[in-house]
Amino acid sequence: MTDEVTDDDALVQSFLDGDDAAFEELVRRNEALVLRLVRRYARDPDDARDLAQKTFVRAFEAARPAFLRPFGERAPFRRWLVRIALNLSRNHARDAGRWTRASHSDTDGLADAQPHCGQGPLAGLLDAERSARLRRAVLRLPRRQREVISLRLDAELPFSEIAGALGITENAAKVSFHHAAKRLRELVSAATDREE
Amino acid sequence: MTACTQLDPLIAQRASGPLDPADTLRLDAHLAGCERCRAELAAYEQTFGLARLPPPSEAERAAIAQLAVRVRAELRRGRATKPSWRPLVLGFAAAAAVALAVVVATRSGPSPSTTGGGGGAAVTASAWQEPDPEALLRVVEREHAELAIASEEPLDRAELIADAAWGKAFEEE
Repeated sequence: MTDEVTDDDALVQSFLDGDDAAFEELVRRNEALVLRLVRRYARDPDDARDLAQKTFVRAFEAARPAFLRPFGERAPFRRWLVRIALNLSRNHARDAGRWTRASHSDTDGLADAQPHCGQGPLAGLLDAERSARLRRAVLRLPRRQREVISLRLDAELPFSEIAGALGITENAAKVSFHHAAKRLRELVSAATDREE
Repeated sequence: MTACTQLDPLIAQRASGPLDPADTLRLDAHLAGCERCRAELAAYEQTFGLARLPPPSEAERAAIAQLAVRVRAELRRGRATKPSWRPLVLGFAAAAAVALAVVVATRSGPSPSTTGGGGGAAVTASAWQEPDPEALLRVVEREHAELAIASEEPLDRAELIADAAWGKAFEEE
C-alpha cells in the first residue's frame, strides 16, 4: 500500500474524529482522479462535477462503517472511490440512455484538432474524427475491458491498483487490458486502411 | 533474446503508462534490437493517444473548484436530514405495544360494548393496523439501496456473456 493511500485513510479517520478540514483535504487530494474517471461518461462539466460529488459522498457513506469498526480488515478509501466512480458513471450513462461523452467528443475532437507540425488542417480533422470514433469504441467494450482501459488511460493507475479496485488478480487485469488494446488498435488500423 | 510474441502484452502496457522496473528493463533491451517491436510500440501509442480524452477544459476545472466544500456540505445535510431506519422501527414497535395494551385493556373491561362511554379506546384500537413487516423491510432496504452500489457488485449475466463471447472471438482470430 502506498503512502498516499495510507494518508487518505488517516484523513478519513481524522474526519470521523471531528476534523472537518481533513475531509476537504481528502477531496482535494483525490478530485483530479475522480474527475478523470467520470468525465468520459459526463455530458458537460456540470454533469462531471455532479458525478464527482456523488462519488465522494457515497464513498464516504459506504466506507464509514468499516472505518468505525475497531478491528478487522478494510479496503483503502481510494479503492471505494474508484469503484464507486466507475459504477456511478456506468449507471449514469445507462439510465440516461446515452454514452454522452462519446457523442460530445466529436465536437471536443474537432475543437482540439490542432494540426501537428507539418500536418495540414485536413489531417488534423481526420485525427479528430478517428479520436471521436475510438472514444465511442472504448465505451462499447465489454464492461471489464472498458473499466480496465479507463483506469489505465484515464486514471493512469498501475495494474496492481486496477486489480485491487476491480477485485480481480493483476494478471486478469492485464489480460483484459490486452484484449481491449488489441481491439482498439484493430479499429485504428481498419480506419486508416479505409482512408488510404 | 525474448520472442516478440511474448512481449506483445508488455508493449501495449508500456504504451499506456509506466511498467514495473523489471519489465521496463526487459522490454528496453528487446526494443533496442527489434525494429518490428518499436513499430508495434508506436502503433499502440497512436491508438491510446486517440482513445484518451483531451485534458480537462477550463470549464471543467472551474466546475470542480468548490468540490470539497460542496461534498462536505452535502455530507452534513445528509447527516441532519437523512431518516434513519432505527427510529422508524422503534416507533413502530412502541406504537404496536401501545395498541396491544389498549386492546387488552378493552377486552378485559366490564362492558363489551364499544358504543358506550369507554368506546373511544376501542375505536382507536380497531382503527390500528398491525405494522406490516414487509413495509418495514422495504424502508430499510430503500435506506441501504443507495449504498448497495458501493458493494463489490458482481458482473451481471449479460455482461459476463458479452465478455466471454468477445474473448472467444479474440482467441479465434
